[in-house]
Amino acid sequence: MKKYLTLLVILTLITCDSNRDNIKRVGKIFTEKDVVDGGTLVIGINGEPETLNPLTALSQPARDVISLIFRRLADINEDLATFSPQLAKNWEFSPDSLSITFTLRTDVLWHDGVRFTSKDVVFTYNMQTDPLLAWDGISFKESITSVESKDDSTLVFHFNHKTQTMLMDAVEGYIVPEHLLKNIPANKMHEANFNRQPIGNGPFKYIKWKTQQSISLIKFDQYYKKGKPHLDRVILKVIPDNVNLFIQLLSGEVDFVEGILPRDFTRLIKDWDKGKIIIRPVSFLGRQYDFIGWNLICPDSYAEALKKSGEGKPEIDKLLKPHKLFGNQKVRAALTMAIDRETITEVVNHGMAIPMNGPIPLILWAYNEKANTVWPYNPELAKKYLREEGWRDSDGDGILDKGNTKFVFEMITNSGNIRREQALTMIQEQLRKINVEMIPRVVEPGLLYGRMLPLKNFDAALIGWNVGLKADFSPLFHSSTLFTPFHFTGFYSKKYDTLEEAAKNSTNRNTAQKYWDKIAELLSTELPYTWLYYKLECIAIHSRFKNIKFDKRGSYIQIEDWWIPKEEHTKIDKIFEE
Amino acid sequence: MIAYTLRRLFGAIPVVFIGITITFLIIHLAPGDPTLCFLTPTMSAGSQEIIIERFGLNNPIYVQYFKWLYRIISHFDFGNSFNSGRPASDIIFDALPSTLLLTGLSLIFGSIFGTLLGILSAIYKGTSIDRFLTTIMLFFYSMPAFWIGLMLLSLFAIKLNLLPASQLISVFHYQLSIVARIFDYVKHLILPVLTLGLAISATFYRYARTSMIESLNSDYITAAKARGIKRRKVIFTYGLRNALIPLISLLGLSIPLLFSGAVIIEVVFSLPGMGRVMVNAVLSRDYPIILAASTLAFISVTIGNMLADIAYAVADPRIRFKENYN
Repeated sequence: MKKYLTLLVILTLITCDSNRDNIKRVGKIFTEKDVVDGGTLVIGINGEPETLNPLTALSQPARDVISLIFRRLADINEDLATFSPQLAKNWEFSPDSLSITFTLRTDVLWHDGVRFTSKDVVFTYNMQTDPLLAWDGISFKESITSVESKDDSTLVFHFNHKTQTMLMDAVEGYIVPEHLLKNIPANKMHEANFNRQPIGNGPFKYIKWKTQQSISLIKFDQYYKKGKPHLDRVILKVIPDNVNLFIQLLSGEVDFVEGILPRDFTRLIKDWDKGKIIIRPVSFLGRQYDFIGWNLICPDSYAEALKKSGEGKPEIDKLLKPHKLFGNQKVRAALTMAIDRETITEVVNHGMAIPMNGPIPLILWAYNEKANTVWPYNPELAKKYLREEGWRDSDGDGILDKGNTKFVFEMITNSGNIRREQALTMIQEQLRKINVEMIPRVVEPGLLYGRMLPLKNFDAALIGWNVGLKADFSPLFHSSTLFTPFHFTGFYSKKYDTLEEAAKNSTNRNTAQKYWDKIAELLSTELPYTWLYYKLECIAIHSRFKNIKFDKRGSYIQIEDWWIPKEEHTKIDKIFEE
Repeated sequence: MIAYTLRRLFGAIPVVFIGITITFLIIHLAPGDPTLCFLTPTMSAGSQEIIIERFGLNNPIYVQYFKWLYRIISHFDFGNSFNSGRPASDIIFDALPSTLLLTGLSLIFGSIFGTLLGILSAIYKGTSIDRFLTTIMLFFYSMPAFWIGLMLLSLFAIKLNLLPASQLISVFHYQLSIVARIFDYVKHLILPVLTLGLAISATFYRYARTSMIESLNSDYITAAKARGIKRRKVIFTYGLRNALIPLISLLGLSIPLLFSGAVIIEVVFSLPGMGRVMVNAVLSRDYPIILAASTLAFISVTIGNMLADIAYAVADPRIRFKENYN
């Protein structure tokens, strides 16, 4: 037994002390003249892309790699409102504002040497809007009626009505080469060989994909932005285990990692501040938030309404009955006040998140914190609200009841997310203080997203959303989407429908802002969700990379500008140079 | 012997068939909708129906089953992955070589290492060597493999920086000379093979020790000793041969591991392999991959069992003769 313990102690000591000796951090300030080409960037990603075709990609790793290989007509700027030219040189709105004419660059080549023309854009648009392809960004193209190629470098997008997001809708989606994909029917696109050997026109060219291991890209010498990219090579290593990913970051085997766990990230910050590591931690507002979604509808009545929805448009008001607990706004408000969101945000995220009060993600221009109705932590008021709604502990068992119903419910979350599981336990504890019994339940994701939520067969769910750059909540709250999988709370309100349509159709940003404010107020008062926290993106990058820039649009946005000073080249850089 | 093998081989076919049929039913009846993994809020309302049709999930389950079976028998086509669109057989054959490499080496290392230590322990039963080995092996037996893997990683990859932390090859593998490439493979395989091998060796150690002790306590060993035969000959010729027989079936039962992979090791060391393919497929309800991989698993379990029985019969004349006698 003694030997066993000694061995354990030795091994534990080894893991605690993992600082490396040969630390060299260069603090020099560089100017544009110092910029040199060369070097290799090794990125650690924790999931393997399913495809590298922009038309069929869904996962984040796939989108990230694609962003290095392909280009859009224009890229959104940091303000998330204006755009910078990419494949398009410039654009012009027609006098009636119902079409946009793009003038394309004439010096763009695909990686196989073929010239890029407006035909590629028309082809891409036709593919994107082909229902058989089921393209992920189709909602961006809803107001576009057609795309017309005037000549090789002139292109017109026609719209059926004016909106605030016309330009965003037109340029959304990477352009794919017509000459390589034109013979593939839309319903076979997800099986195309192109998906694993993509030809793009971006700064990096695909060269090799070792399944479950790595994807290698090299600099495209004929990239249309002269002198870029500076790096010779980008290698994306697939490392499914977060602990190993972090180990490799520390050991220098990977240079750049996104989505670092907050606990590890805070440790990196401390070590960086003390000058102990050459890995620079960076955080910024990310693209994810977590919330509790309350089921507003009695599951049985929903099942019946769903059946009838197939037979034509049902009278939803008559068919849907409110959920026995959460159908009442005051109850939802009480529960929201009983949950100490500030503490939960701090504890489960180690400070790397911001409490959230309303529906509009913090990175969008439409976000206005003042518009949200805030429900501060107040268990006493929560108790009062519940009392007013008739909830009392009449049998003295410590749990509220009303008639034959006890205030007991399940809150589910998906397995594999430590933050959410931790938050669930804290919420259970906090709700117990107002005599509400919440039973935490962790469910396998396939079951949760594949059955329980779409069928509204749950009480409350603690989950999260990824944030797109366009404000659009219709799949979540608009009554037209009530029977679709993402609208799982069953919230519907005519007022909301009108506001959202008005916000989307306003061409003036100030007018739109007023509607978005009203939406924020409505939803944060009605509380179909109790918003918990907005996460900060935690990344780390080896300090030898210069001119790095990250913001809410993501961390891959400007890799073509990154460079490494000659004197800071590492073993990997040198091996490839030879 | 040949008749016995053939009989076992034909007997295995219905087992595999029933196994994959049950798997087909279970995954299709299990809750969770595979199409939901391919929907996002920004898609149009009709997308789900299109995806259901694309995957052929709109047909009744028995139609799906017979179509699936027909494609396998006629074209050896297991369908395309829902997730990546690649043929399931391509994905399996991509993952198989590295799984075979990792698990094969680990099995060879683990079985030999464990058996040798087990024999050593049995010979020196009750001494401090025995106690020491038993403690160490108990440690490897009871500690989760991923923990041992992480400890080895911390020591050799971070602290000493001697070995790479993950994957099968370096990112600059193709820049190296042939010799350096082999060396590169070896460097990457040491830690995972050690981790999995130690876990395997602990099992072999326990079997080998018990079996050897039993064998050394038998009457024929006492008789051999009484005849004044050399201790070495008694142990290695008479004792060992009989002690190894139970290990044959253990080895046979370990064969499925070669194909199913060791998912924990693959994840910890970011190695490509069947384990990761399987887990990802189950999580995303990628039916074609789950089915193709389980078919392979059923075949390997059946063959493993069969080989163990045959080897048993070869090694132990009693079994062979009993068969003939009956």
